Amino acid sequence: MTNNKISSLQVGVILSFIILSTTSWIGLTDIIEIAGRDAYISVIVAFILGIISLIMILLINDKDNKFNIKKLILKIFGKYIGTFINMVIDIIMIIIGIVTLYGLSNFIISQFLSDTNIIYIYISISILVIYCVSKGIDVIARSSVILLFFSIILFLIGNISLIEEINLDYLKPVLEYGIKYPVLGGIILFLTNIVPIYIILIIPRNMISDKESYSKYIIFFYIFSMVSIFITTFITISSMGINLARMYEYPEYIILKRISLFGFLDRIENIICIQWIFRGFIMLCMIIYYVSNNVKKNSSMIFRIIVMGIIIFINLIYFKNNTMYGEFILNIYPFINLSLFMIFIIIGIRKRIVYNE
Amino acid sequence: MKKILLVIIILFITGCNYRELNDIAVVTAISVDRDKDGYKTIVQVINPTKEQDSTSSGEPDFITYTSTGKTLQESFRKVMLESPRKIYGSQMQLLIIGEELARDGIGDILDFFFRDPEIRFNFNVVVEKKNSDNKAIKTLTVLDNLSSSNIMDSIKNASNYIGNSIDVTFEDLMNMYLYDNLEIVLPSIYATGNDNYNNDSNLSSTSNYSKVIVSNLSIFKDDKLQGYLTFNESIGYNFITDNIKDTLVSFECDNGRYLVSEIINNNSDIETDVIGRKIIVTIHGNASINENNCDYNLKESSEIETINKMVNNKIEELVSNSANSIRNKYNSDIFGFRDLFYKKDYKEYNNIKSVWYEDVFNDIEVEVKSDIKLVEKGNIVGGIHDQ
Repeated sequence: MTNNKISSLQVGVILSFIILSTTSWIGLTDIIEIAGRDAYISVIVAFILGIISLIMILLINDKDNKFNIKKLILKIFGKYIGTFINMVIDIIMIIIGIVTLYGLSNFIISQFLSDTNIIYIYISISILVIYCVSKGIDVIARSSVILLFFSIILFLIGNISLIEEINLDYLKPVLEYGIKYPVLGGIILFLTNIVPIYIILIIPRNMISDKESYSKYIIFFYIFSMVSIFITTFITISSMGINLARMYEYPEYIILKRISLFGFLDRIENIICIQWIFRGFIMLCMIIYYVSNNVKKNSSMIFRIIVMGIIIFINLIYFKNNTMYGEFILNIYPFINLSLFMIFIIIGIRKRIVYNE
Repeated sequence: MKKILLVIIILFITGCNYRELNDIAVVTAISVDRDKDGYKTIVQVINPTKEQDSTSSGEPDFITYTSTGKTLQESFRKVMLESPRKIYGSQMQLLIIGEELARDGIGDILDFFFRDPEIRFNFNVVVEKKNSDNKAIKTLTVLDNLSSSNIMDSIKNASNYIGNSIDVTFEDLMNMYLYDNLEIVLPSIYATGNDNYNNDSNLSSTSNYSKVIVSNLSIFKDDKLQGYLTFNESIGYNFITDNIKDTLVSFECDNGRYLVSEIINNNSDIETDVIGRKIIVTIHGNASINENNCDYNLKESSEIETINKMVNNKIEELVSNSANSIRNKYNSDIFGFRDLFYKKDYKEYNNIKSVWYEDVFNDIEVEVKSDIKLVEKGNIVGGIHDQ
């Protein structure tokens, strides 16, 4: 049953999944590479920078807003410029989708299904995403809340079990190379993991049943997500040491291998890391929902399949191996997201000007 | 209909990497050494029939396959020429590195183990001495079915109750290898006995059988084996690096008569004076009297004080001598003094980094303060010689 009404809590949960979606294979790896043992400081820097995006979201989707972001852009920029901006944003969203799908599939391939062709993973995930999106935003939102519940339990099991592994010596000396690299890491984390939160602007306020709680939940889940990233970063570096953390493709996953619950429950890393698959799945659902929004209802299913097909196709031809992916993530992806950030800053300013006139 | 379709799809997806237990050879230990072809590897594989059925007498609990190759990967793949099953490394418990390879440098073999996603990094690593001729992995043992378990248990015991060894996992080894400020230290073993080490007669003998013995610590510089510490040096090293869980300290009080004290609940703190080039090791903990053949009157607190002082002096002397002799003999910073300097004052450390071994390491003053408290003296109040 779809009623297209969702709660502020559900929007907050979706925001949290968007921030955390690529943390394990993009955000964390990048900040460890750039900032070294000071990577946890990068999370604080990213948190501060992310407040700008948060303010923009609350400004664009204020309590009087009746339109989703696509309609709002057309309204404030006019038909031609508005359509162009929407197209640019859609293309960036597809790129984020490409990056998310590859990251998720590559993780599955490298750790669990090394003999499986990646295309089977792409197709399996895509079928699930298309099906979920076809059921509407309320189904995505409800799925998010259920998956968040499981994710929190798994997150707590994982991180509490690792507290005994913490060795604060691994964090010394602090800021040996100054604040430059942690700030750079923070900017990269902000661009790769926080900037995509603009996706939630596709949900207008009038679609939310408890509009007055919107800001409260958005802020709460933003803080929740950043605290999660901080804890993960801190535990990974302080239990593994920066030399080992830098060597691994998925340091967060490797550290989970050390967990031994009650001294006898070992090898539970594959259960705990299921939360990463949940995050990637919700992110992909939201991207497909964003891009396919506004398309006529009777043709929307075909459109979603086409978009997903494009994402798979580009993944297959562009990312031939994970080295190419890593280079793209570090050298190109942040700039693409920077342009998304700039576009939404312009939208926010333009909206203020148009609405004040 | 949809549910049935879903179940069918799930069945197909889970089948991607599924392997029947009958198709895999579960590896429990690997021994790697130098060979004229490159590497010689011996792989220990569990005999599943024997593990499941104790009545299948005559069959060994494990089988070993030996192969050689230019690279480790090639060498392991060649094992498949002998083994009817695919080698499966996820359950690996022990990696034995031969002395010859260790002296050449272990850097080249680490990448293989580190890269393989199937292998977990919590397996133990040991060095096998050259005179042992790679026999340790093949030696049949009575109390443990697998020689790998036997070796690991022996190292744990030596580490927990004697103090001359340590438990080093592959992840610890990688940490030491990757970190410039640390040198590698590994436990060592050797096999001794007759040539029947890998047949049934080794299990039916009570004394003259072949066995694997835990030796003292092996130390490296860069990634090359430099040599083996003595028993006292190993204990001294473990005191400095806070790896002592339990050990014995004995001293001669009379001609040929000894008092033995057991150190328990030990921990060591290290203070660093970077400018003064000084390391202060403070050893805290408790001790008990385990054996007393001296004329001390253990009912008197002043005598207990005297013994306590002697225990502390003995520990200070042992640790201090170890630190000096290890530095003089090997000039390898296995204690991690470099890392302590770096973490305490990285600016000053960066000035001395390039001349660490030439000008700094050997000149560091190591001051040892032992603060062990004698708290137990066993079941008896005084001593049997008092009567």
